[in-house]
Amino acid sequence: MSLKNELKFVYVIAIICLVIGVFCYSSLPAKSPEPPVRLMFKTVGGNVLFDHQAHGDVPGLACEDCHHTYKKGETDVPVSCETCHKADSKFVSALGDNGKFDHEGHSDDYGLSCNDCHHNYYEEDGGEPQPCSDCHEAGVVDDYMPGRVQAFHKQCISCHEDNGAAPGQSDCESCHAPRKTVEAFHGQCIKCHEDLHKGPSGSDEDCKKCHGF
Amino acid sequence: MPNTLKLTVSHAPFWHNGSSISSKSRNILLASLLAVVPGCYQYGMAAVGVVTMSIASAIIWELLINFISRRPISVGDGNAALIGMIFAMMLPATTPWWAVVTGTFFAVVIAKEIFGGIGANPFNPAVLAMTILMLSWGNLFDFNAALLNYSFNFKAVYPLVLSKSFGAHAVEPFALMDLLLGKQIGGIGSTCGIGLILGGVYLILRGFIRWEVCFSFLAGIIIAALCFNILNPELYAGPGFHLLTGYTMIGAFFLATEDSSSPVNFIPMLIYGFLGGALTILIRNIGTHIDGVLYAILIINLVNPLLDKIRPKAIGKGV
Ligand code: HEC
Ligand code: HEC
Ligand code: HEC
Ligand code: HEC
Ligand code: HEC
Ligand code: HEC
Ligand code: HEC
Ligand code: HEC
Repeated sequence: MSLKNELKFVYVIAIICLVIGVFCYSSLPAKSPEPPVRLMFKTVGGNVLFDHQAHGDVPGLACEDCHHTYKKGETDVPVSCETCHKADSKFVSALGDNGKFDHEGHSDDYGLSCNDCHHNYYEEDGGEPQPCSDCHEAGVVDDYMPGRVQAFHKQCISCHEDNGAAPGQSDCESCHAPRKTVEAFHGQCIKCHEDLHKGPSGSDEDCKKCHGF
Repeated sequence: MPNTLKLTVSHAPFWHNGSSISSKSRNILLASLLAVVPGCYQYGMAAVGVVTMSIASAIIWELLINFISRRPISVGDGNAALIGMIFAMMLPATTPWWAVVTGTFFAVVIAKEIFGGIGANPFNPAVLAMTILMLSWGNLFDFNAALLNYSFNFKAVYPLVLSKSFGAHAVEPFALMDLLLGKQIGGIGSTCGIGLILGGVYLILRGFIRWEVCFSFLAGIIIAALCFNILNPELYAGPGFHLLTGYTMIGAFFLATEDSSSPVNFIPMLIYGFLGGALTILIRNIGTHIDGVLYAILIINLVNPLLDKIRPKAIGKGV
């Protein structure tokens, strides 16, 4: 090839490449798939690469096992954990010392009787009511007996809605101050692995099996 | 006395294979396609975009610098296009366009033209540009994070990250055959081992690159990796793994062999390549970086002038 033709050839290459390049970049915006394939959590303790697709493929794992506020068949896709479990918040259960549930307010001030909640207890019998979780056990659900979470949600929320009182069904944060992101992730990932005896556990030598990226 | 022509040249020695620079560039470009096409097939249009953008912007940068410095237009030799191609081969398919364009700027303008253009660059331009970019925007070149959205039928974790943080047993699921066939994530044109080898062998047979450099580089990898592996097989993966992952293959055939940054004498070429391979393994196994190829090549580029001092004594000249 003569020098002149060589130059022309390169010009043509440059123009073709530029056109294809611009076309590819502008017409194919990298959109992230729903649901995600893999997720990378950047943390100060080493990144965590979470294979979302592989977890979805494990037989017996359902979306709801992790996206615990997501109802099967809902048209919307699950939202990210951070919308509820924020990095700067402190985990507070609805009950207990830090909880937002105010027993005194409910039993003394709102004009309710003990029996509205302690449904098998009558004040005139004396003594103390049994804790709800004695009968409504965590994680146990059957047709007859509501589980712990179901029992609380049903009772608290239905009374609020009947009385037009706050907080209602969709107002999670008024009862639950959201859990910290890290606690939420550790709680869920590690708890499931330990329950199933598969995947990295919470032991010290297992940290780097997640935090190695 | 016969009609002789006296050539006054700056320093000895030179290597000439009889063909022009442009035909050399064209041949290397063609050979690189053997690895780039499978990469584009794997990553789709995004990869095509990166490769074409890189080639186009490399040519345009060189044209611009030709105009600004009022020097003859030199893009005709195809070297700029080649730099663009080699640079793109190392990138993940998701590299944003501005990073590609910045990268080719570093490669063509900073690493090549500022040193006097083709033949005068002390470092491999694409390698220098890639290292500058990796130091500036490390996140972009973390292959695990960059390629999150791709779903493959193989384990989509950058193998070198696994061997580095989890030890040798973590990479056992990778069959060497799969790695050779490019069933691993990585740079667009760096993972298809078979394509790189075929391209490299073609270039060696045609005399465009020196087998001494390629083979000694690979020998350096094998021997150093074997030493580590024998020392502690739990921790350090074997030579086969290191040969077929990261930038090893592209390093051996396309990066270390770049003319002006590599030596031309036999012994120096062997030392140069071997040093590159061995350093790569040192960096991978005991350094902080995940892949050592780029840094190793910059280091051997640096010692290249020194190595070329080892040369046959001129006959007839007194000591
Ligand atoms: C099952 C996988 C897994 C294991 C095992 C695990 N982690 Fe985590 N870790 C995560 C995930 C997921 C996050 C959440 C990242 C985020 O905040 O987005 C996280 C976050 C963190 C953070 C917060 C970092 C930040 O940026 O705020 C720290 C610290 C941490 N982990 C330490 C540990 C330690 C110490 C261990 C071992 C006892 C451990 N992790 C075990 C998955 C794991
Ligand atoms: C093993 C637990 C697990 C399973 C099972 C699971 N996911 Fe997820 N999913 C996650 C985690 C963790 C995230 C990250 C959320 C974040 O970044 O805060 C996520 C993120 C998502 C997101 C993106 C949310 C966003 O905006 O960041 C979607 C959509 C999603 N999952 C859909 C699904 C669907 C549909 C299924 C069922 C086929 C499913 N997931 C099953 C754990 C799981
Ligand atoms: C719509 C809001 C919302 C989203 C989204 C959400 N959570 Fe929660 N999560 C809550 C609330 C509310 C609680 C209850 C806090 C309590 O009282 O214990 C909770 C409790 C938890 C708990 C402790 C209870 C248990 O089941 O063991 C973990 C762990 C947890 N979330 C993890 C996650 C993870 C991981 C994700 C993302 C895959 C996620 N959550 C997404 C609202 C949310
Ligand atoms: C609004 C519903 C509500 C009303 C009204 C109410 N309680 Fe409770 N009570 C609760 C809940 C919820 C708990 C916590 C149960 C648990 O943690 O398992 C509780 C716990 C208690 C406990 C402590 C049980 C234990 O050992 O954890 C006592 C005692 C108690 N209530 C007594 C009363 C008495 C007496 C009245 C009537 C004056 C009353 N409550 C009215 C909802 C109510
Ligand atoms: C002694 C055991 C026991 C204790 C303690 C107990 N429950 Fe129940 N609860 C039951 C049984 C049994 C049922 C099912 C009876 C039925 O369906 O009528 C039930 C049903 C319920 C239901 C569903 C009622 C409906 O209308 O469907 C709610 C809500 C509930 N309990 C909440 C609570 C709460 C909140 C507490 C604590 C304040 C509590 N229970 C304490 C035994 C108990
Ligand atoms: C039998 C009816 C009833 C039940 C059951 C009930 N609540 Fe309430 N709740 C009320 C009333 C009435 C108010 C007062 C509304 C007002 O004054 O604005 C209230 C107010 C609240 C508030 C607002 C803050 C406050 O204390 O004033 C919170 C939080 C709350 N309830 C949590 C809970 C939780 C958690 C449960 C379940 C353990 C629960 N409630 C069960 C009737 C009920
Ligand atoms: C009226 C108050 C109230 C509202 C509103 C409410 N919850 Fe709860 N929730 C409770 C109580 C009480 C419990 C049981 C005690 C506890 O926190 O462990 C509970 C438990 C849970 C748990 C199980 C925590 C565990 O440790 O196992 C989850 C998850 C949860 N709620 C999610 C939600 C979500 C999501 C929403 C909003 C859609 C919501 N809740 C709204 C009162 C409420
Ligand atoms: C609902 C249950 C469940 C939850 C929640 C869960 N995992 Fe797992 N995980 C599994 C199971 C089951 C396996 C084993 C999969 C297999 O061997 O095929 C596993 C395996 C893993 C592995 C090892 C994969 C490998 O190739 O060896 C990692 C890493 C991991 N999980 C990380 C996470 C992280 C990070 C989270 C939270 C964001 C998480 N998991 C949440 C069930 C869960």
